[in-house]
Amino acid sequence: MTTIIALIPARMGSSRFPGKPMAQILGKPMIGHVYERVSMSSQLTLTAVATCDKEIYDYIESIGGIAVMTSDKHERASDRCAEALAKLEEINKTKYDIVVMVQGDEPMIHPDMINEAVQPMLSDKSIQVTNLLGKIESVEEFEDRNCIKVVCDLNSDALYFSREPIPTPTKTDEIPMFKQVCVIPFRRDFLLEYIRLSPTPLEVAESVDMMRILEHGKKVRMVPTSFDTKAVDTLDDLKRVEKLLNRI
Amino acid sequence: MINGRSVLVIIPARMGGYRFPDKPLRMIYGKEMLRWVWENVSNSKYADETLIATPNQEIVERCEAFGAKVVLTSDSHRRGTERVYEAYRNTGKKWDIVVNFQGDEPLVTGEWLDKAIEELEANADVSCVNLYKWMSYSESETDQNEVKVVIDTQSNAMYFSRNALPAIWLGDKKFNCRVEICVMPMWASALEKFVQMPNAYYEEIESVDMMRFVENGMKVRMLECTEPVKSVDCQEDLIEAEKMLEQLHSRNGTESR
Repeated sequence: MTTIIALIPARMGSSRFPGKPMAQILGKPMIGHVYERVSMSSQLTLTAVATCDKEIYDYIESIGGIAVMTSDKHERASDRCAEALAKLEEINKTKYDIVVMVQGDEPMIHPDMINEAVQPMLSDKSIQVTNLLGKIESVEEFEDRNCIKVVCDLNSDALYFSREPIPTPTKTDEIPMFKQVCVIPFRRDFLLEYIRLSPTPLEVAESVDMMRILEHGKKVRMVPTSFDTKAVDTLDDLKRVEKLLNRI
Repeated sequence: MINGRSVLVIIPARMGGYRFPDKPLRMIYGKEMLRWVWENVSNSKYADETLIATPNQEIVERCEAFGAKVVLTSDSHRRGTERVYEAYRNTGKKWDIVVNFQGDEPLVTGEWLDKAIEELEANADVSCVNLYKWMSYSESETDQNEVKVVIDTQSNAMYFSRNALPAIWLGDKKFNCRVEICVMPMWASALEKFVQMPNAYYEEIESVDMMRFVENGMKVRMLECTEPVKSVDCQEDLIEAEKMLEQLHSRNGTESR
């Protein structure tokens, strides 16, 4: 059987929204929403939060969850996850097959989204990493630099990720607009290979981690999700998400 | 011929739309734009045969007048590469490499054409090579005639866009974009494949031929052209191209008129 774990990297010191993971949504910290929803997925052996902040660690423990303390020197979420993975594998004396990285700022995540993202990897051994692919519903979201747009080839592998609106909107036609949704399953060994790859120019320019994989000529399979989510990057996003969650 | 491989160069040209009618026959520094292209290609070391491919009788006559070989092609092609394919089939010969050299690139020299051909010849895993140049972000942002390209660490194209790419995240815009130059040597086998594959998704949206290769997982290698060049899409481009040609020829001290 394929063993799958979910890791949720989280830290308090975000430059654009300090303290984001602990920001309250309907009376519960955002990271709590994410943790509870992810751990409901039927496919997962284990769900853990990887953090360098005691406050987040203590909170996750207090709700009966699993948290792993990691270094505060990591610049990228994938590095933090790799450290947490090593610790969990040591504690549990096992190696996991697939590591699903879930961003802590997706409080609307549905447990079935984990299954959606992992599914192609279970049937196709050549796929090393996938991302969920969401539909963009408004021009406002399309032009939002926090929203990462993505274009794919005819095989559903990502061609490019950008904060610029792509594809180029033409005057007359309605164009399809897709975004990256940060549910990212890696095959274990590929995650370890990935964190050793050198940083690349477009990764830095766009500030999109996945670009490192593409620029090194490797593939990222994009999997359409049937769920609608909204990542929280700003306080305005948080208010919007609070309203949406209140309806559920 | 390059290392025993035959090279056919095709220059597709149309009279152009409402934006810039008669474009290929416009006079630049004393010659039709197409004549500059024709003469530049004739300086190539590798081109075995060169053809201008056009649906316009007037272009045929004017080009034959300055000694070019011209082939009349259908006026129903939607992509330059399809016109190139028709002209290529028309030769009735076998070719190893076919170059699509757009008729609105009067400043690309035979030397740079040859460098693009060399890059293709050395890389059997690559389907097609394009030249590119650098353009400022502000210019790239406003000029949607120019096609911007982003490349991976092997210099293979990832995406071609009318919008300026990449986006600089939280940064300033004092950087440059790579812009496609439409000098495109490809393997004849890749050209055959191009016309067999259906039109691709982003190929249509961005209106860029090369996206058909990219979306089908075929490699397009980008090679930087370090000589100043200028593709002509409007009157302002033409004036600038004329200045550049004038400088080039006065510097070289050649009689051009």
